[in-house]
Amino acid sequence: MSRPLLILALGVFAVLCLGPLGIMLPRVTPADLASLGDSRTWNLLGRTIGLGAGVSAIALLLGLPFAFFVTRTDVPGAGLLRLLGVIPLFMPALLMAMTWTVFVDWRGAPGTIWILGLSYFPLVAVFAGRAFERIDGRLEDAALLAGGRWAQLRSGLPLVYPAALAGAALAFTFAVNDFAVPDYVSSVGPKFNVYADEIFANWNNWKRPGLAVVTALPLIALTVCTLLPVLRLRRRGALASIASGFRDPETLKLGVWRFPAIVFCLAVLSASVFLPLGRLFYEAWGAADGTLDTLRGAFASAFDLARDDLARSLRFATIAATAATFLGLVLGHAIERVRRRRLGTVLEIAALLPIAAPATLFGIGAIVMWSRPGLSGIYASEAMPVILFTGRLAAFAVLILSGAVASLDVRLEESAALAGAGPIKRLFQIVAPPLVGALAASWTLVFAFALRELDAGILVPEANRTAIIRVFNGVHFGRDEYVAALSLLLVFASLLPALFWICFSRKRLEVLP
Amino acid sequence: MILASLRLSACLSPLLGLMLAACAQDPDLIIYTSVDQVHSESLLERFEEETGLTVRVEFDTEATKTVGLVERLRAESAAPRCDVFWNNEIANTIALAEEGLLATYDSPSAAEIPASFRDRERRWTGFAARARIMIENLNEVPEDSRPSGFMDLFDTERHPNAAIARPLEGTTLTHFAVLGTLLGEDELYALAERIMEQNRAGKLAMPGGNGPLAKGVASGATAWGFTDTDDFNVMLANGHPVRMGLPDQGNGDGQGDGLILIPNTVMILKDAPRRAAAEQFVDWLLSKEVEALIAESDSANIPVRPDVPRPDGVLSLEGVRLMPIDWNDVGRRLPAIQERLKEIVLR
Amino acid sequence: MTNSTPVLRIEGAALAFGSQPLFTGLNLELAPAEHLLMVGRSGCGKTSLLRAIAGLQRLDAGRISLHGSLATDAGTLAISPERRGIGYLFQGGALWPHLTVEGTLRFCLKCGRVPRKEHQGRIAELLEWVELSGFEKRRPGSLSGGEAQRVGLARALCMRPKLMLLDEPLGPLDAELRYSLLDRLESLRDQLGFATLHVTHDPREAARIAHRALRLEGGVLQPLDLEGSELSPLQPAIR
Repeated sequence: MSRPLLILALGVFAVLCLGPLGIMLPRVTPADLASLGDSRTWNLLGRTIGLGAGVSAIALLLGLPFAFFVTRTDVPGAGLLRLLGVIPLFMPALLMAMTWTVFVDWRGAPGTIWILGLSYFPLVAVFAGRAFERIDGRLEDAALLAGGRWAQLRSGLPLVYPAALAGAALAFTFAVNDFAVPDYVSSVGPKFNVYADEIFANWNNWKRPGLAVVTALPLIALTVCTLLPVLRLRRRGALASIASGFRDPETLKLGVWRFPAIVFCLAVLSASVFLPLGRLFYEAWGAADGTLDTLRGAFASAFDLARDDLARSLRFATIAATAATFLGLVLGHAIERVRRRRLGTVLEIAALLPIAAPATLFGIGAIVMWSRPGLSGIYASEAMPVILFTGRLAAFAVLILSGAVASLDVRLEESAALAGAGPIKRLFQIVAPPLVGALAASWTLVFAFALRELDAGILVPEANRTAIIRVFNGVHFGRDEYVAALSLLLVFASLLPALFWICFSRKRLEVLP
Repeated sequence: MILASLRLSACLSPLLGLMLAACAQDPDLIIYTSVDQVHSESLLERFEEETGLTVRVEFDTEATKTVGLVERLRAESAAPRCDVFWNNEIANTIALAEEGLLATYDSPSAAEIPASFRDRERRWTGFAARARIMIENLNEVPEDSRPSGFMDLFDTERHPNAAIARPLEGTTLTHFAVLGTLLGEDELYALAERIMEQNRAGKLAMPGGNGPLAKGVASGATAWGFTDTDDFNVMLANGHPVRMGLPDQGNGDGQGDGLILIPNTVMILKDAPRRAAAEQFVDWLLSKEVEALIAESDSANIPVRPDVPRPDGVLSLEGVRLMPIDWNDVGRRLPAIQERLKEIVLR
Repeated sequence: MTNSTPVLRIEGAALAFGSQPLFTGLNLELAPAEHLLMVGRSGCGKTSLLRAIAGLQRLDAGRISLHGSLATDAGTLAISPERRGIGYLFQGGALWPHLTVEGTLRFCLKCGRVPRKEHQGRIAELLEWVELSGFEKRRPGSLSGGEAQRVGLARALCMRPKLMLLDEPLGPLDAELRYSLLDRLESLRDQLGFATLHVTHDPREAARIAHRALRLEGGVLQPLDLEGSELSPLQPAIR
């Protein structure tokens, strides 16, 4: 491990990822801390945990069978279905809410849980799908010989559950931090208040600037506590591990069950992908009285009005994804290979903080940090969104790549060291090339998340002149065709790098090793 | 080690290069505005054309209910970057004034603006107001049972399916704070409790903001509710079956009666880096011509000077009973009111 | 440094795995061109000792000197692994999955600052030594266990080390391959004159090319008679 490189990366990580959070702590007063004892906010937190649990349950119910069908069975078009199943992750959950509230009258908690569950079921599907593929064919054969088909099916499940639960835990953390969807869904009927509302309301209290920071702490703690077991499972290799002599598991023939299986998969995809995208197309078309000209006009005006914003979004996302992946490689490697294991664990937990913290807190922290005399050249420039997005999203790259490094035989690096390769050469020429799938996954993920980053970006100069912010401005003013067209462009742009990779690379995108 | 560092710099230099290349040239004036982009963009372009100054504008969005830009102004106060803040409401303006973040400027263009819309210390000036009105769906609210005011929110038998945004931010919070100063805070909190009871009973909807509320009424999801004139006008312009109701005009029997006008406010930031251009902009924005232009826009704001021409769609204040408001008082009491409302609403 | 300077000297080395001590106060010397066989059960610390010699692991106490220079002083590495000039043949080869055989060797030559124009010749020579000429474009995934092990050997030999560490080099191979690889090792050792520390849990075949043998047991090194019955299989006690 190159010490100068590591120190540099740690410095960058501390400044970009942790700085915006740390700098907010001095705002907190003892009176603010006292507000943590309020039973009302704990009730809100309890309800929010309930929401998260519900969302996780829906994500498991949809994601686990979906993953099974598309990875292990002969359901027709499994590869394509699997690919389509990832799309909801690239769409803002609010778009899903806007679609579903049109079709059904589920409001309050049930509606919110259903909509967020649909948005985040791909997390379970991706994790569990990977685990299904990693069931050793030899183990299944042994189970088949011992107890028949049923035993064969059951033998792999203990390997899949941890991965599925890890996906559900991620869905949980996304759900408990969301406030736009509960708010939107319960705009009719009894209001479904969540803990994030409390944080947002506290930003308005200018007399007590530390209150919102304090209120964010339990949510950060909850998120970190939820993700820690995931990291632990990953460390124990429970999420994806391959023994030597591994043999791919066989594709299971569904027989008469093929039909229900494809119906299930298509139903899940209809609810989570086709319906929202179809609704956007319908709106871009001009709804009931639309024509092809309306559609063309909608896209033309989306391009015309938002061209610069879209270009800026793409530029910021590209640079942030590159910087985050670079940072992720260095720090992800350090987490796994640092001599003092405890240091690696601390670094891993620290990496969770930027995604565990509410986006608004992170955004305001970034402003406090960078808006100061002498830094205005950076603060007011296009470097600022890059700094912001890298800081907020590098954590994803760090976690993906630390997982990938963990799966890499350490002796590959040791043999390179003995061949005379220095630490930087080892990192970039020995460690990075086998991880190209994980590097690509982390790049495309950060890219897509940067394109849809709204809550933090909205506050920061330059970062608030992006396509997603134009979409949300437009949503407010009911300019439906244009907004729908721009939303479609944005979803397409988010998916583009992943599509490009899938079409032109033989390596697959590896969110999990 | 040296070689390693050199290689490292080689790796990082393209990134740093990109970042540095991204540093833009300074404009002549930086304006932050919480007025939505679709409304303010063309006006600001016009200012650029007329003056030849290059203006950098940072917009807020509905999602942050102004809190984003205001937080940013606070966070940037160590190294002010913004010259002028054009706020589409007033509560946060008063907060900024109280915090000492605003410069004083007595614009000659503001001379005829009524005193109730001007800060005594000349730190901010109000203009182009929005009104808190009732939006009613034509198909859902029959002509003979139209709601008459705030208290009809509680008469769910006669005026069912009503809506009001959650009073924790934006103009709805301001609306409640105004009621609090006029009715007394205890009375306000009792009303808030009743509102929440109605909501829990499923009789009163609480959309996320005034825009979503207007959309909900326009689509028929709710029948009527309180919103701002600009949100109403967007729905009307989009051809939705809605009409406007002016609240609390009829009886004249209570202190709380009358229409609430919430002005746009404009202010120059303390230590603004481009003060001369800032004054030029404030003078321009507060001119009668520009207030007339704002009235003509989709947002159809209401000019606060009686002699500013107003097009058809803009609410005429002639014969309208206005709620008397001491904005400095409202602003001072707002944080405490918000905190208590939060305890009532977020349960 | 004279000719009699040991290639490797270990003084008072101690290492623990967690709270379990592997060895304490361990001393060892290796003469130039000497082939030392180290025998011991799985988990007795043989591989850890090799890794410590290579600088891949630090010691809890003791010193390791290479060619008379201090390389490891307890927890401190005086010489980093990449500057120790050691050839290390890992169990199973541990080949870089993304590089061809030629790419692997070229990478090592580049690391060793061998002028580019010499690469081609050196690669051909290395592959000839391990009898893999014609395998230049193959990737690890397409190599058999024995071939992979020989590529690993070629990689270890790239910079013509004076000390070769062999970690269970015959482990996964069948009998025929074991003998052929041992013959290769012996002839290369004699040709290139490197000292060898050869770790195995099954010393039967290796005994015939070794000059000396030691058993690591209970953290202590004990001499073994190469001709004696002590080198009979350890099988019953293993694992």
